[in-house]
Order: sequence, then C-alpha cells, then structure tokens
Amino acid sequence: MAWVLVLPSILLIFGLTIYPVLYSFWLSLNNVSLLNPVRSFAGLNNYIEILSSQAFWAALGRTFYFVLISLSVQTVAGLTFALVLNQPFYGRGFVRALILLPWAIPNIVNGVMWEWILNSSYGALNGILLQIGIISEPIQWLSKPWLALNMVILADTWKVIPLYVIMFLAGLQTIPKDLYEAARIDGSGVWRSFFSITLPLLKPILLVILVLRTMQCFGVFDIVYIMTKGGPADGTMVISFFTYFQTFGKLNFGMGSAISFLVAFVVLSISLVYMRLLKTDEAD
Amino acid sequence: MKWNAKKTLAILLTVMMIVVAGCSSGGGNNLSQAGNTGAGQETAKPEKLTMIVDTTFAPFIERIGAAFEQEHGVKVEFITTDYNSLHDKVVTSLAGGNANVDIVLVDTVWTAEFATAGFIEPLNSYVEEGLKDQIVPISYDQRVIDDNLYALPVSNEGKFLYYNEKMLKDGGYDAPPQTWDELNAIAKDLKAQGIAKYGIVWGWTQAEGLICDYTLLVESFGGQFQDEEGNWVFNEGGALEALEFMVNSLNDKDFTDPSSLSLNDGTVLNAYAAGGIPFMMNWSFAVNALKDNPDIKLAFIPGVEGKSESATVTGGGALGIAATSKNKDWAWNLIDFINEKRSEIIVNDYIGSLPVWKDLVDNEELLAKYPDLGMMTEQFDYAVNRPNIAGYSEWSHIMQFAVTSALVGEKTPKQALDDAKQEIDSKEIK
Repeated sequence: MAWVLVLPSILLIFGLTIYPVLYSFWLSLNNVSLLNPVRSFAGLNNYIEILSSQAFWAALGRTFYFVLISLSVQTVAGLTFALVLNQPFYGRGFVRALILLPWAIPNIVNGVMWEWILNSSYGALNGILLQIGIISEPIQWLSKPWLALNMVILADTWKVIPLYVIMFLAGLQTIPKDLYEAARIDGSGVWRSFFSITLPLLKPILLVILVLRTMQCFGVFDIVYIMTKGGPADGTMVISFFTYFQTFGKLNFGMGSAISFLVAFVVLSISLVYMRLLKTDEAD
Repeated sequence: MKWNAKKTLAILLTVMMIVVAGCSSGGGNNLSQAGNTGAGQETAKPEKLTMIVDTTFAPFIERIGAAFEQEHGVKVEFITTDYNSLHDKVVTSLAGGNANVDIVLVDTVWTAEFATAGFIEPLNSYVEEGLKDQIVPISYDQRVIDDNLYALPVSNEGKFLYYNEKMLKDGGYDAPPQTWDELNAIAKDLKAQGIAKYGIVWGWTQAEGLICDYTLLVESFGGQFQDEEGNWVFNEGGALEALEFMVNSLNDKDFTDPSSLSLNDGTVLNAYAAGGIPFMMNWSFAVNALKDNPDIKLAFIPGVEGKSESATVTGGGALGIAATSKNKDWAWNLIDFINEKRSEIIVNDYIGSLPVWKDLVDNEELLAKYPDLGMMTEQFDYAVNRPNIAGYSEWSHIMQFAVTSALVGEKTPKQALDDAKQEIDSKEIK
C-alpha cells in the first residue's frame, strides 16, 4: 500500500529528474550536434576536450570569483543592515519595508536597470560621480573585463541584499536579550558581544544562507545575459553562461551535457562540504 | 512484506525502462531528423499560426497578421524577443521539436545553420516561378543553400554612416567624410572647437553587431576572412589592419566613444541621441528610430584611401517555415501574403529597412518618406556578406572574443586573430 501511495511521486521524480539526468549523461558520452545528423559514441572525448579547454577553466575561475566575492560582500553588508534594523529607532518599520524593495524587482528588470545606471555616457552613476567631482572622465564600467564582472556582482548584490537582511534579522530576534545584558554586566564591550554572542548564535542561519546563495551564485545567468552577454573579452563568461552557449549557441548537445555534468560535480562537492558543516553544527 | 516491496520495485523498473525506451527513440527523432513532410499536402485550415520574430520586426508582422486574419480567418500569434536573444529562442523552440511554431525569422547568417540542422523547410516546392526575379538578388542569394531556397527575404539590411548635419555645419564642414582618416580629422577638429565629445559611436559589445562592423572594416581595408580555397586568412593583411584600426580608434581619445564597448546596435541609439557625437554606425532600422531628429542624415560609409571607396555589410530578415510545423502550406500562404500586400503594408514603414522587392526600390511613396533611399540602395554596391557557413554561430563567437580581447587591450590585434584562427582551424569550422 505504501508503495502504491508513493508511486505517483516516484513516477514524477523519475520522469522529471532521473530520466533527464540519465539521458543527458548518455548524450555527454556521444557526439550529438544538431549540425551533424550522424550521432556517434564518443566515450569520454567530450569530457577530455572540455577539461583541456582553457575557456572552461577560465569560466570556472570567474564563477568561483563571483561566488566568493558576492558571498563575502553580501554577508557583511546584509549583517550590517540587519544589525542596524534590529536597533529600535523612529521609522524602523518603514525602513524595514523599504529594504525589501529590491527583492520585489525581477532579475531581468534589475539587469536592465543596472545596464542603464552603468552606461558610461548617459548612465546615472557616472553622472553623479562627475557632478560631485570625484572623477573627471567617465568610467567605462562595463567595458573592461574585470571591472564588468565586479559591476555584475554589484547589480546582483543590490538585488539579493534583502534576503540576507531578512534572514539575519529573523536570526537576531531569536537571540535572547538577557545574554547581552549578562555580558554587559560582566564588562564585555560591543565588539566582544558581537563576536561571542551574536555571531555564534547566527551560525545556523549563516550556513543556510551560504548554502542557498552558493548554489544561486554558481548558476548566475540572467543578470549576465542582460548586462554583458558574457563580454567584454569573455570577462563575465561565467560557467552557466558558458554551458548555455556551448549547448544552444553551438548546438552541440553532447558537449553541453558533458559540461553540465562537470559543473554538477563541482556543485555536488561544495554541497557535501556544506552538509558536513551543517551536520557538526547539529551535533553540537 | 520485503518480497512485496521487491516485486513492486521490479514492476516499477520495468515501467521506467519502457518509458526510457519510448522517450529516447522519440528524442532521437527530434534531434536528428526533425520531420520532413514536404510540400503540397493540403492540410485543414488551422485555427492559428505561430511565428517567432524579433522586436524590430514585430510592428510590421503584427500588421500583416491582422490583415491575414481578416482575409483568411486564421489568427496569427507572435512570440517576440529582442534580436540578440532571437537565435537562441528559435533554436530552443525548434530543437525541442516544438510543433506549435510555424514560421521563424531567419537572420542572414543563420540560414546555413538552420538548414543544416534541419530546422527549416526547403521552400523550392512552394515558390512560384518568377518570384526570384522580383527580389533584389543580394537578399535572395543569401538564402539559397545548394540551390534550395530556405527562407523568403522580407527585409534588406545594411550598415550606414549616420551623421549630425548641424554639428558638421557648425564646425564648418559641408559634406560628410569620404575616408576614415577624414572622419578622424573632422572628429578632432569638432572636439577642439568644443562641438563634439567624440567622433563616432559604435555598438561594439561582445555580440553579433561587433562582427558586422569588423566585417565591413575588413572589406574597407581590402582584407578577407577566407582565401579562394576556403582557408581562414583573417590574421594577416587588410583583416589585421582593420582590427588595428578599431583598436587605435578606441585608444585615440577623440575618435571612437569608449562607451561603444558596452553598447549594442539598439543601445547605441540612446548614446547617439544623447548628443555630442557627430557620427554613428548602424543599420538602416535606425532611420526610423531617429526620424524625429531632422539633423541626423545618412552617408556612405567611409573608405580607406587607396584601398576602397566604401564598404558595408549585409543583413536582413527572411521568413522560414519550421520543419516541425503541422501547417506548412498555410505558413507559406502567410509568407506569400506578405508578397501580395507588399505595396500596401510596407516593411520599411515599420522597421525602416530597405525593400527586398525590385518594384519597391523606386516606389514614390517610399522615396517621399526615405529621401535617402537612392543613396542607401547604392551603398549596397559596396556590400559584403559575413561567411555563409553552417558553424557560423561558433565562428562568430570565437571572433567576438578575439576582437573584444584586442579592443580591451588584453591581446595585441595580431595575437588575438592568430589565436582565433588557431581555434577555428582546430575545430574545423568551415
């Protein structure tokens, strides 16, 4: 009876997850190009070709940079905002609602918006900087590979900060006030309280955010697609965009599947590490 | 209990295997030989036809669709996306065997690719005799692969030099420049007089438009992508000089607006309309977008002294019938309807590109709206095509990377093109 009850969901999971995964694994072992009607078994050739391609490693490196920088910048900024919003002040409710705003904006709109803001000749950012007098020449935000990647991170950060703030805020509110009072009585300063009480007690929330955001950052696609299309000089060609291009730009489905599996492997390894971290935390 | 579970599992696995077998054979068909049913079969009148077109084309096609529905009672539905996403949209729809798409817009450089992949139907059996003679050859010939027409051209495109007549007059110039050196000199002079910030703005983001500009500059500098035997030779001679010219113009503070690197064929219009730049390179569709500014005029693209008088690159839209469409003859009826209505619903009115029909080239109504039509038609005498190869998308992407690498200064032009040639050769793209 139990089997019969779960059968529909097993079929669904199989049809929507397991079968496509197996099928794309099979594709990755074959030469499957829409431009070539003849399919042939390729063994591990697709994998070998990808692993020896410089572009793949460059895209992977860029993605790691993206993940690392976004996570650290966003965590620090998100926590700062959350700490401020956790203090009682006049109009706090309003500010809390306001900080949610970017979260309500679709990724695509966010990408287009930042593309305008960062445009070097008519963009708002250069406009402001020039008027204040901080710069004398417009800065080409999206015309230099490394700078463009950082600008994409900035646009992404603006959009996801609310997630961090809300999560941290929720975490902060579960920390009992008397802990801080006790610490104060024992003579602990603000920083000491933060590092000995706030941070350790936020660890579970922090881990959840890290896991969630690592996966999201690893798969970052839409904002790159809108803002830079992987350019200039492949400076923003992150791994998911690279995979997409190999598959749908070049119509090479065998190669695209092989890259997807390599990426899946990397993501899986990261999540194993995270699972370990979460587990030891539970055991505490 | 345990035995029971095993038995259930066994049945489950059997079911799964049947599903796998069924799906994989179906998937295989979709990928390799997207159904090819040929023409001439009378199918029942469909309720609707579905087209994938880009946003530039949408206003025109919508007018056609409305007229078609009124006359034939078949609704025409549209899936629209911006040009830079159109290729992937069409590919993902057709590669997945989406039988709901009937007609797709095919850009010049996708014809070979789509035909090779079996996405679009050969049209020879639909085309009536004499049709070819009514169409401008440069538009028609781009769409023929191995003597088979794969898409019927509806718009003819090329790049042109846009200039701001008022800025030029204010600076003391009566005519647009004939060579790139002249353009550079005018730019420097206008900047010195405080009239302009930069000379020219282009859409040089890492996308197809960049390759279009590069192609026409290669022609300007007397270079070529392939030699007569089909070997790639763009890393030497005029093709190398063309890239060096692009890099130098960008590094020269007065010549190319540095923001060009983050602009595409669409957004470059915003930068140009914002003022302060006398020249812009763009397709003819920009005529429509800029028509409210009477100072903006069109000119021949400058040449290079001793090498060329002018050069441009071809483009344009054509309509192809999806190989998986169930309503191929009705799809053709719609395409033919455009032909029939060509002097009533004129493509130029909506997207501003040039007519593909010979009898429209000197249409008086059009001439009244597009005073430069004669000059624009003449510019096509200097037109070149981008390589007409099945692996074009991959080729183009490698070239986009090479050209932008040189433009941002990561590689020298020679190094960038050498690397690109090596990659293209090793992948045997031809």
